Amino acid sequence: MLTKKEPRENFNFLLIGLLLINGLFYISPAIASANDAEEIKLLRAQMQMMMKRIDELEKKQSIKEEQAIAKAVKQEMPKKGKGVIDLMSDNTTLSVGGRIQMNTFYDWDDSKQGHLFYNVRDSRLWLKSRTRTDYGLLSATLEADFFGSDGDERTSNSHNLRLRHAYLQLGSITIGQTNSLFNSIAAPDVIAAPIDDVFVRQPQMRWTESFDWGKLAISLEQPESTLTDSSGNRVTPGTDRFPDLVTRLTWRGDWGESSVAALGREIRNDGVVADVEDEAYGGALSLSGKFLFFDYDDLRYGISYGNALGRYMAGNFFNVGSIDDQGKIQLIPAVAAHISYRHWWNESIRSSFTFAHVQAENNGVVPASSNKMGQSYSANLLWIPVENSQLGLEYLYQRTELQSGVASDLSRLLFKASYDF
Amino acid sequence: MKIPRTFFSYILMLVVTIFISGCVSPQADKQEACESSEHSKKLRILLHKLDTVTFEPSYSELERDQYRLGYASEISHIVGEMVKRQQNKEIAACGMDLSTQQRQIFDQLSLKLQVQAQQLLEYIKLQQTESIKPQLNRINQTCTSCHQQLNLEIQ
Repeated sequence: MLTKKEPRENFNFLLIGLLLINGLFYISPAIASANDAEEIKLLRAQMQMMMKRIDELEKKQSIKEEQAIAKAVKQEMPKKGKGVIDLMSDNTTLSVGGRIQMNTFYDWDDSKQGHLFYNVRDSRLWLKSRTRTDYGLLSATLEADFFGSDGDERTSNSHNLRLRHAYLQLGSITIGQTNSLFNSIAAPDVIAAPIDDVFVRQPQMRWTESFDWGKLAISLEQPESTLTDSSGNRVTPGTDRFPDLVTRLTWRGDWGESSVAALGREIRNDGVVADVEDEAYGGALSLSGKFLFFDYDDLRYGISYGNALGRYMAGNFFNVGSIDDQGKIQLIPAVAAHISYRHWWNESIRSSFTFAHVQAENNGVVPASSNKMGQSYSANLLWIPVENSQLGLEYLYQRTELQSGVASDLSRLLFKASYDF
Repeated sequence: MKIPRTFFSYILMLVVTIFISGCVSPQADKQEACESSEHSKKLRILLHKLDTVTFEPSYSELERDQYRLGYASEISHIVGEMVKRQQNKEIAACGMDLSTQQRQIFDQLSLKLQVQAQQLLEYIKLQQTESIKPQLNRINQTCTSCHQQLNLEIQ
C-alpha cells in the first residue's frame, strides 16, 4: 500500500504525541504560577521547537509517499523493447530505423579523364508498425531515401526525399509499393548494381503462402509499357488496362535457395503513334538463387529471358518493344544474367566477384542508336568494423554496345561507408 | 547470341576463387568435442547470417524481416532441440562426469535456456524483430555462463 506508514514513522508520531501530552503537564503548573514569566517563555520556546519538528516530519513523510507513488507508477508502465515506442493505441507498436550512407565514385570513360563525386542520397529512414487485429498481425512499412529531385552541389546538396516503400501486410496479403516479386532473390553483394540488375519497385497486391520447403507467391503489379519508336525515342503510353502478373516459387534448404518466376504482361499503344491502338502480350521467365559453400560463402546466380522484360531489368536499359510508323507493336526478346561468388575472409571481411551480361534481339524497327548489349565485371572488399556498419571498396568495369556496333567503356572505383540504426 | 571470351575467363576465375576459398574460410568445424559443439557451429553460422541480412543490397525491409524471422526460427529450433536432448541426458554436458553440484547448475541453466528459447519463439510469432537480437544475447549469456561454470571449452 502506498499510504502505509513504516513502523519507524509511527514511532516518531507516538513520540511527538507523548511529548505534547508531557508538555501539558508542564504547562499547567506553569499557568498556576503565572508570575514566573521566565518559565513561560521557556515553555513557549519548547512548544515552538516541537511544532517545528512535527512540520519537518510531515514534510519528510509527504516526500516519501510521493516517491513511493512514482516508483509504483514506473513499475506499472509497460516494458519497451529496444528501439520501440508504444503508441497511444494499445495494440500498435511503432519502430523507427534507417541508414546513413555515403558513396564516393571515381569514373573513367571514353570521353572523360575522370570524374569524382560524393553523395549521401542512399541514406534512408523507415517507420514500421505492428498492430494486433482479430485477423492476425497487421504490419505496415514506410520508407524513403534522398533520391528525389537533385540538390545543388555548389552550396547545400539539399536532395529531396523519394518514396521507396509504402505497404501493409496482413497474413498472406501484401498491399502497397515495394520490390517487385519478379526481382532476383539473390542479387550480388555489391556497392554498384551489376548491369543486368533485375529490379523494379512498384505498387502491387501480393498473396504469399509459406511451406516447409519454401513458398509460393502471386502478385498483380502496376503495368507500364515502354516502347521505342522508329526515331529511337522512348514512348510510354498511359492507358494500360491489365496489371502485370507475376508468380514465384522458391525452394529453400541447407544447400541454399533457388527460385523460378514467371511474368505476364499486356503491352499497349493507346494511339500515341499513327493514331492507332494496338496491344501485344508477352512474358518472361527468371531463375535465380544461391548455393552455400564452406559455412559462410555463397554462389549467387540469376538468368532471365523473355519478350516482356523491358523495364524489369537493367534500369530499363532496353524497352520492352518497338512501335513502327503504323503504330504496330513488336516485342523485343532479351536476356539478363549474372553470376557472383561471395567469399568471407573472416567473420567481418568479405569479397564478391561478379559478372553480368544483358543483350537484346533488336528488330528492324529499332534505330542504330538503341542499346544492344552490356556487360559488367566487379570485385570488392567489404568490412564490418562494428555491428551494423560497413566500409567498402569496389572496382567496376562496364562495357555497353549500341545496335550500330559502337561500344563504350566505363571504369568506376567506389567507396561506401554506411551505418544502419 | 555470341558468348564473349571474357565470360569464360571470368567463370574460370570464379572456379579458382571457390577452390582457394576452401583454404581461407572462417570455418568452425575443428575437432568436435561433443554433439553440442555441432549445434554451436550451426548457431554461429545462423547468428552470422542474421547479423548480415542488413547488408543485403536489394532486399526491402519486408524481405529482411522475413529472413530475420526465418533465421531466428532455426536458432530457436536448434536451441530447443539441444535443451531437450540435454534434459534427456543424451548429450549431458558433452559426456563429462559432473558432480552433484555441477549437475544442479547444468539442470538449472538448461531450464533457463528452455524458457529463453520459448520466449524467442513468442517474439517470432509476434514478428517482433527488434526483440530477437536482445533475446539471442540473453541465450548466448546463458550458454557462456554454463560453459564457464562447468569449465567447458566453447567451440
